[in-house]
Amino acid sequence: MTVEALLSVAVGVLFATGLYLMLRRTIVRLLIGLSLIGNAANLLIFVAASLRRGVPPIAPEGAAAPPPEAADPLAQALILTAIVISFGVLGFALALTDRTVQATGTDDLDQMTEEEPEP
Amino acid sequence: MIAAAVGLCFLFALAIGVGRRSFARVPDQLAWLPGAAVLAAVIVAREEDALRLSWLPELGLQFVLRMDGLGRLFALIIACIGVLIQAYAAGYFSGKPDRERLLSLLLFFEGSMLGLAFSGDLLTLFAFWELTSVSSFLLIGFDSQSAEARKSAQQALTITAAGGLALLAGILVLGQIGGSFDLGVLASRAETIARHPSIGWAVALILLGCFTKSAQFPFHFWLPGAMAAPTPVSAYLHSATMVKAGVFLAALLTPVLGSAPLWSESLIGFGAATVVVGGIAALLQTDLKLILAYSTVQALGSLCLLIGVGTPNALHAALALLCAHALYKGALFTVAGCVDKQAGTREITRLGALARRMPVTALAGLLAGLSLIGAVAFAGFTSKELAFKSILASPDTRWLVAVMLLSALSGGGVAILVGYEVFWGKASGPTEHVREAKPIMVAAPLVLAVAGLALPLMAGLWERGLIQPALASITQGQPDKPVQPWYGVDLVLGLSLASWAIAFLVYRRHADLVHWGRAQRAFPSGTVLHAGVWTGILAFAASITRLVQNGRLRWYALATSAAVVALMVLQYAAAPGVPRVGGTGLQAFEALPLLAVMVAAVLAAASWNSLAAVASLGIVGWGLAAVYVDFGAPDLALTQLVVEALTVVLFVFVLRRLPQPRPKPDRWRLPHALFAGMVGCLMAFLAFAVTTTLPHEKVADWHAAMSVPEGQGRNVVNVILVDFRALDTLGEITVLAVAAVGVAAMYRSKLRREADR
Repeated sequence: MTVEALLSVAVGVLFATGLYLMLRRTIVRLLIGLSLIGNAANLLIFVAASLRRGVPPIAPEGAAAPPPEAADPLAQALILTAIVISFGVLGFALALTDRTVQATGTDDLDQMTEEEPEP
Repeated sequence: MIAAAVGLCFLFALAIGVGRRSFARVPDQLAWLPGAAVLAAVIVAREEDALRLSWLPELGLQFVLRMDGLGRLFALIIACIGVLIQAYAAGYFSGKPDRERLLSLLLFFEGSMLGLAFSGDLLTLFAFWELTSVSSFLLIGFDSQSAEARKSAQQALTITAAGGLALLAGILVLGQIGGSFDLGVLASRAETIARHPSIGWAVALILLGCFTKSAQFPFHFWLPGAMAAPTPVSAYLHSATMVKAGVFLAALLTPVLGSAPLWSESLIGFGAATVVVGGIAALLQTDLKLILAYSTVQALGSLCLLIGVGTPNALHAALALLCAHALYKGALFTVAGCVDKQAGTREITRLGALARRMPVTALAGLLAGLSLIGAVAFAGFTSKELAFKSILASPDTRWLVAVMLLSALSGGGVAILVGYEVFWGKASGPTEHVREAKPIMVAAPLVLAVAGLALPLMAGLWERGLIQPALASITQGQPDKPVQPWYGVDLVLGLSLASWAIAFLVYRRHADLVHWGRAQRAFPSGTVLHAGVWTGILAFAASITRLVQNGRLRWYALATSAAVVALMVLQYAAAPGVPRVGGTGLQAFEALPLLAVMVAAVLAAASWNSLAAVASLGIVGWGLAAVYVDFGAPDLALTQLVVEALTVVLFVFVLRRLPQPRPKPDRWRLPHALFAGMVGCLMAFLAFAVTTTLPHEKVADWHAAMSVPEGQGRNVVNVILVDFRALDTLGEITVLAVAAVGVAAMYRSKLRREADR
C-alpha cells in the first residue's frame, strides 16, 4: 500500500460522500456536501502534484532557492486560493440558506421549488 | 453631404428621442424642419462626396456610402415623402406624448433607409437593411399597449429578419465568388460571377431576402398585418419606402446577377404570383388600410416582375412605377388616415359622401385615385403604359400581359373604392359631425397627389433628372420611349380602357366580392401558418426548458456530475492505460488521519443530526490539515485549520436558527448512493492514475528558482500568491468582498423590513 493509493481512496470517498449529500433534499446536507467536495478537489490537486514528505518549498536562510526535493509550491498556492474562496462561497450560501428557510418555512429543496410561482 | 444626410437623420432622431420633454412644447407646424434639412442635404449631395472607411481591412470589409443614379432616385423619394409624412405625423399625434417618440423613430428609420440607398458595399447595405427591419418592428408595435400591434410587429420582424439572415448568407456567398463586397467591383466581374457553379445559392438566398422584405408571395402576409401601425407609418414604411427595399436591392444587383441562372425566372415567377394574390385580395377587403396594403403587395409584385424581365424597357418602366406608386399610394394612405381620424372609421361600408365635409382630402383622394387607375396625363398612366409596352416588346414575356391586366384592373378597383366611393359614394350614416382635417395633415396627401400629375407634365425633368441617371446605373441599354404624359392611340391604350371597364364592374359588385372572399376562409392564410410555426417553436423551447431547467437543484447536480463522468470515461476510452504501480511507501502514522477523514466523511453523509454532521466535517478538514503538514505544506495546513474552525462556527450559528432536519421520504436515496459511489471510484482512479503516470515536470520550478532573486521572499507559496500571481489573489479577495457584501445585504434588507412593520 502506497501513500498515493490511500490518498486516492480518500479522494474517492470524499467525492462520493460529497456528491451523495449534494443530491439530498435537505438544504443543510447540500451545504455539507458542497464543503466535502471542495475538500475533495483540493486533495486531488495536492495528490496530482508530486508528493514529497516533509520538505516545504521554503528557501533556507542564505540559499537562493528551496532544496530540489521540496514540495510543489504552485499546487499549494492554488489550493490556498481555493480554500479561501470556498469559504467565502460557503459563508454566502449559509446566509442565503438562513434567509430562504426563514422566508419559505421549509428546508426541503423540492418544496421550495414547488412554492416558486410558475413563470 | 451623402454621409451628412444619413448622419443628420440619426442625430435628429437621437435629439428628439432624448429631449422628448423639451420638444413637446414645439408646435406641430415645425415638425417638417428636420426632414427638410435632410432633404436639402440629399438634393445638394454630389456623386464625388462618397465616404469610404475601412472597417476590417484584414477581411476586406469596408463601410462605403456613395451615390449613384438609382440611390439618388430612391433617396429623393425617401427624403421627400419623409418631410411630408413627418409633418402629417405631427398633426396625427398632435398634443399627444407619442408625437415626439413617433417623430424620433421615423427619423431613425429615414436614416437607415438613406444609408441603404447610399450603400456602395454589400455588407454596409446589410447593416442598414437590418436597421430598417428593426425600425419597422418598433413602428408597427408603436401602440405597445395593443396585443394585436405587438403580434403583428413580431410577425413582421420574424419574417423580415429571417429573410435578412438569408440575405446575409447570400451576400457572403456572393462575396466569396466575386472576391469583394464592393458593388462596383462585383459589377465589373459580372460575367465570371454568373458562370460560377455555386452562384445559384447566392441568387436564391439574396432573393429570399428581397422577397421577405418586399412582401412577395408567399411571405406577403406580414404587410397587411403591419397595418396595425399608425397610418403615417403605413404610408411611409409599408407603402412608399421600406417595402421597396427588396425591389431596390434586386435592381441594384441587376448589373451583377442579371445574367445569373434563376435570377430572372424567380423574379418573374414570384412577382407574377404576388400580383395575382395581392391584386385579388385587395378587392376582397372593406378596411381602407387593408385594401391599400394588398394593393401595395400587388404593386411590389409588378416591380419585381419588371426587374425580372430585365430589358432596358422593363427596368425603365419599373423606375417610373417606383416613382408613381410612391406618390399615389403615399397620398391614398394619408387620405385614409385623415378619413379614419375625422370620420372615426376605416370601414368602407360605413363611409360615403364625405366630399362636402372634407373637400381638400377628397380632392387629394380623387387625384391620387386617377393616378392609380392610370388616367391619361397622370404618373400612373405613364408607368402603366411603359410596363405594358415593355412586356409586349419581347415574345418571351407576352404571357405576362394577363398578369399586368389583372394588376391594372385591381388597381382601378382600389382607386375607385378609395378615391371615389369614400367621398362621392352613397352615404351610409350621418356625416354632419365630420370636419376637414387640419391643414398640416391634408398637406401631405395633396402635395403627393398633385406631384403625381405634375411629374408627367414635366416629363423632361422626370426623365432626364431622375429616371435616366437611375437607369444608367443598372443597365447600359436605352429605353425605346421616354416618360410622357400621352403615348397615342394604340393596343396598350385599348388594354387600359378594357381594364377600366372591368374595374368599374368590379367596383359595382364589390359587396358580392367581399361576401365571396369571406366564404373562402378554409384556405389557410399565411398568418395562421406563421402563428402555427411560431407556437410550435415556443412549445418546443418550453418543453426543452422544462426538461433541462426543471428548477430541481438535485437534478442539476446529477446532470452536471453525470456529464463530467461521461467525459472522463470517453476520454479514458480513447486512450486507455493502466496506472503504473509504485510510489511512496505508507507509514503507519500517515494512515491514521486519512482513515479518520474517510470515516468522518461517511458519518457526515449518514448522520441525520446536523451538529454531528458538521462536527464530522470539521474532522475531515483537520485530517486534511494533518496530511498537508506531512507533505510539506505548512501554509495550507494553517489556512485549512483556521478556515475549518470558522466553517464549523458559521454552520453552528446558522443551524441554531434552522429546524432540525428530519428524514424525508426519498425513493432516490439508493440510486443516488450507487451513482455517488461510482463517481467516487472514478475519481479515486483518476487521482491514482495522475499520481503514478504523469511525468513530474514541475511547472513550479520557475517559481521556485525566481522566488528569492525576483520576489525577495523565501516562502515560495507566499511569493506566488502575493507577487507572481498577485492578480489571482486580488480576484480572490474580490470574491470574498462580494460574498461579504451579499451577506450584509441579505440581513440588512431583512432588518429594514422588520423596521417597516
